[in-house]
Amino acid sequence: MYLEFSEDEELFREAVREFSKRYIEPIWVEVDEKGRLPMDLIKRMGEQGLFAIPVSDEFGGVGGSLTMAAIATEEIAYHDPAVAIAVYALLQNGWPMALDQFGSDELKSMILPEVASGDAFFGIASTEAHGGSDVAGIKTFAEKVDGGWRVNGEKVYISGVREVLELPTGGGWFLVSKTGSRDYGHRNISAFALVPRWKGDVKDGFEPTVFEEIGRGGLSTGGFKLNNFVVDEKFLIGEEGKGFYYVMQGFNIARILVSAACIGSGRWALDQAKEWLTTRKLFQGRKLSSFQGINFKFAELYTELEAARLFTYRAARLADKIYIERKPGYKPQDLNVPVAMAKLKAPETAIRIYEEVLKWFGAYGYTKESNVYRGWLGTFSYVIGAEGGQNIMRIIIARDVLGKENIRS
Amino acid sequence: MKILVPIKLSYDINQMKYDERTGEPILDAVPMIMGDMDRCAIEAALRLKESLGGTVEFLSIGSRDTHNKMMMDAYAMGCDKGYLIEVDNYKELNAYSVAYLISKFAEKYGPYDIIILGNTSQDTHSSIVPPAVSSLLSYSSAFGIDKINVEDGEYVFEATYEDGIYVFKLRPPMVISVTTEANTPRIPTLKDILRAKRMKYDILKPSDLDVELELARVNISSIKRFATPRRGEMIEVDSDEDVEKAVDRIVELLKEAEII
Repeated sequence: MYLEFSEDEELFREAVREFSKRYIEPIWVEVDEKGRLPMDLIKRMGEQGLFAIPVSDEFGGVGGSLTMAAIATEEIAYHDPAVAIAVYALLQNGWPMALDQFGSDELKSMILPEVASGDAFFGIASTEAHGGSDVAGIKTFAEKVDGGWRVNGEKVYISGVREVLELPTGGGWFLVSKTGSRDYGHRNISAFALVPRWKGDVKDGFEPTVFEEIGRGGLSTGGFKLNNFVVDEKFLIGEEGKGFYYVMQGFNIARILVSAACIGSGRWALDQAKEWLTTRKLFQGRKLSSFQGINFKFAELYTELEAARLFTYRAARLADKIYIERKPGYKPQDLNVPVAMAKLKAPETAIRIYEEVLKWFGAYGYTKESNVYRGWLGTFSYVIGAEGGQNIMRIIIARDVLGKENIRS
Repeated sequence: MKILVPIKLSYDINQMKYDERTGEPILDAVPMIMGDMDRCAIEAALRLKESLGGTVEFLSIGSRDTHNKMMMDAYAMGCDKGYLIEVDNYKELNAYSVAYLISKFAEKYGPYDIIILGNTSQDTHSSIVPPAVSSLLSYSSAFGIDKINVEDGEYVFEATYEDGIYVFKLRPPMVISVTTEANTPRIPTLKDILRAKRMKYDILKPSDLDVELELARVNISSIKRFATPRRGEMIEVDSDEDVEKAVDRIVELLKEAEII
């Protein structure tokens, strides 16, 4: 596949770049340092149409594509290499898109316009304390009651907890919960729009907490307990018992955007390095870039980043064919391997870039003044596992390429 | 209120590339964009429209292949109607020819109350087109504007020149040129861009304006980067006496360099 962007995509990239230069680049260090996303920036991003890009305009979205959302995420991450703002944007594109795909019209009409405007947050709540990769093993349980569901359980390492409490409207998450049976497995999982706060106080039975992380400081990560939290039946997403399939497709969508964030941040780091290596001189006037030990490594990383970029946009184009254009012959599972390859490649490449750039910068790189470490810590969250651990990506690729029956031990 | 904004596709001077040996720019490798001042001209026009009503039309001279994205950009910002005068080898047109085409267009498709241009193009920086257009149309004019106000039907413009701030009070029809101080141009949203993608612009030939362009062409013989070699010298100053010595040394260096 030859990667070529259309004129409107290029124009959009330029517009996001200009927006990011104006409103994000001047504050990204402060956002990371203070650990808070300014509410006025979120509102401004909503007004600029940077949320709900791949959501149909019928439900308040922009009516764009996932490729466009990836472009926006990449450019925002370039100007916020610590990636908190980029991750906020990617969550507000990926999971609203998943809701748009699987939710009822009533649910979409309620939630998506508020997310698009920046007044509400809608993220993902899947991970539990036993381990985020084991979705089939979740313990949160929704019991059917008259007119809805009573949910009990606990979710951890969830993005957006503070934002749901502080945004004008509030918001919530694409929640997965066991229904019907508590047995291990994926067939008894349902998806809900969990909305603990919507234009008012926090609903009873929702007990949030915010964690302190080592990087990606602007966006809150936390958890919450659900104690007999009552969910109206209209908040069920799609059909009961199909939540696992919906959330896996949501992860495929979100992983493309995660990859875009990592390549944006990695590109920023390589650009910093390029400037440094071509201007810094030592050993009687030799540029750092003249040493093969350095320029060979630079060439390798540049190539790796471009490869990650190709993987990412290839997956985005394919997702558009499946979910936006709905082209005959394209199925959601076609996306598994292309997405897993992008998610496997992009965060690891970004980390490798940061580790080299920090060394090239020498002692300066180890100071807080250089700010390079902020991108390192920010993108590291995606090799740990946010939106899917790296070994899960390897399992997906091995399973789909070698065959499920051939990888069982 | 009918406003025309002529815009130019310019070389992106922030991404210039040069042949290290000859100093000549490698223009084929340089992206082309709408210049910053042209963008400010569109913004100024849109703000006038938003406060007074009317329409904003834009005009460019070039080819569909190269100009399509810029035309989409102008629509995405909010312009109502676009025109492209197709000219082969449009890069060879000199400033007067461009002004002549704009004035002929304005005569045929106008009358326009205001024609707003960028004060100077991003690449050639001649600043000739705006005054030439006003002269050809016999419109009142003000150039290098960095502040626009409308008071009781009178347009008040401020421009900062070398010897101070000038205030111009004009009535339509008029031609003005704006600087990047005039405003901060809006950034199109994706919805704007998707809407702009569906909008068409009219394509004209110079002959549609009864213009014969053959006489107006000019060939640029060479373009080279003008780079001044730099020399640095550190003068340490710890006392008043040192300051005296430092001044003497600076004067000596300036004389050596034949600057004074």
